[in-house]
Amino acid sequence: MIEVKNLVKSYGGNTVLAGISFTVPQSGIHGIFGPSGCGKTTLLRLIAGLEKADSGEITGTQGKKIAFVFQEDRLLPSCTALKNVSIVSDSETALKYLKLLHLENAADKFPGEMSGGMCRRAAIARALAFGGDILILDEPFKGIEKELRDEAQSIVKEYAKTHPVLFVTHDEDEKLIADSVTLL
Amino acid sequence: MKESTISDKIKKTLIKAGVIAIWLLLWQLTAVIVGSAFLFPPPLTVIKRLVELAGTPAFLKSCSFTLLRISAGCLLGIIAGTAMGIITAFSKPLGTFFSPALTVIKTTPVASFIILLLLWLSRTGVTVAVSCLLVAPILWANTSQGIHAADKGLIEMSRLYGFSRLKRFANIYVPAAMPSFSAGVTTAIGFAWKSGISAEVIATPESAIGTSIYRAKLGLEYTDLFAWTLAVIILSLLIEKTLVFLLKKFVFERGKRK
Repeated sequence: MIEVKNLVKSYGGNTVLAGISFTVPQSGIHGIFGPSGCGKTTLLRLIAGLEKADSGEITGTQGKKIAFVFQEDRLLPSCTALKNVSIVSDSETALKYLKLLHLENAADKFPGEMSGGMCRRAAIARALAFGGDILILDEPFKGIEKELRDEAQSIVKEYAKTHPVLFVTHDEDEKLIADSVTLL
Repeated sequence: MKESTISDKIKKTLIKAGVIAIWLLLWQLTAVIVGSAFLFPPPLTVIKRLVELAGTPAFLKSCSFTLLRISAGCLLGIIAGTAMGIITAFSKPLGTFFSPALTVIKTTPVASFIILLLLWLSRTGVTVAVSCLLVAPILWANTSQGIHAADKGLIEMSRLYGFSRLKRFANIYVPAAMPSFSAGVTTAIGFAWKSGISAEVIATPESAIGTSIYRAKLGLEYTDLFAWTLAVIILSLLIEKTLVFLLKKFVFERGKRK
């Protein structure tokens, strides 16, 4: 279980998070929703340990492997889709997730040769193949067409059966996949 | 290949040929104005002399040895400069420590280097060392600049996913530094030739283009001087074009964007 207690984060005098507290269950999708600029991405970054809070505490993440689908795809431009996923796992697992996300035919393509939606799916495949203890998703389905998005959501739901998944989105339909919610 | 691409290529080649023809015409015109083939030989006389020289074993020997010396110096400079670029990019204290050395190498006149090195090295060694000294700072600066330009988001991602240092270096820093490194290499080749020939003119080693240029100057054989200079330009261009071709083929083909 991840516990966030009285978390405060400011940037140059501008307080982004002012004493946020919530609990993320051991498994399931936990949605973090709120208007633009309310600190959702900052909160995810603090949980992932990419930034330090000014005060407050986060427990349950220490020593855990964290997989993160950033707002940007952050794929290695000089590596193929397969290499981008297998770089965090073994080739077999990488291929498994590429297939699940319907990217098996794009395995040899470089990010520059793929569409925005394909890159997004490759970023999701990388996060899932990494096999993290915690999965963090920052607007993961943005740019993915409806049918493929539904499938990607099912795969994430399956993963969430055994892992805690933190999830940020602005899309009202996507919000429905959350099992629990924190509103900022 | 698409038809439009072929016609574009032909168009580009024709434009290039036209530009060269204009410059040759300007050269010819200047030679006519100067009115002395001895002081300012026209292009045809120079080309004819170059063809004559190219048929002699001494020419081939000079070109081969010069090419060898300058290539060795250039290669050493590329290796040393790239290594220093990597080291100083990742270590701020070392970057600060070596910064004055880089400034000194960059600002010292080539002639000073050549004369100083002549005290310590053989005539042949001077050409190699001078080419190396001129090439290294270019690669040093370009490699370091390229590494600093690496995508911070990718670096953050690699840390989160537990990339080893080697993996991060090979997959993030090397591709990021490659354009800047390649530009440095092509610039460096020109510098290596310029400095290497200057070193040969002053150090006059056996079998060298620079030594032949020096002798042509001593004997007031300006047609020879022009012909040897033309040989240097052709050789330098050949090496540069070959390298650009290889870099494009093996480096930039990977990860190309549509």
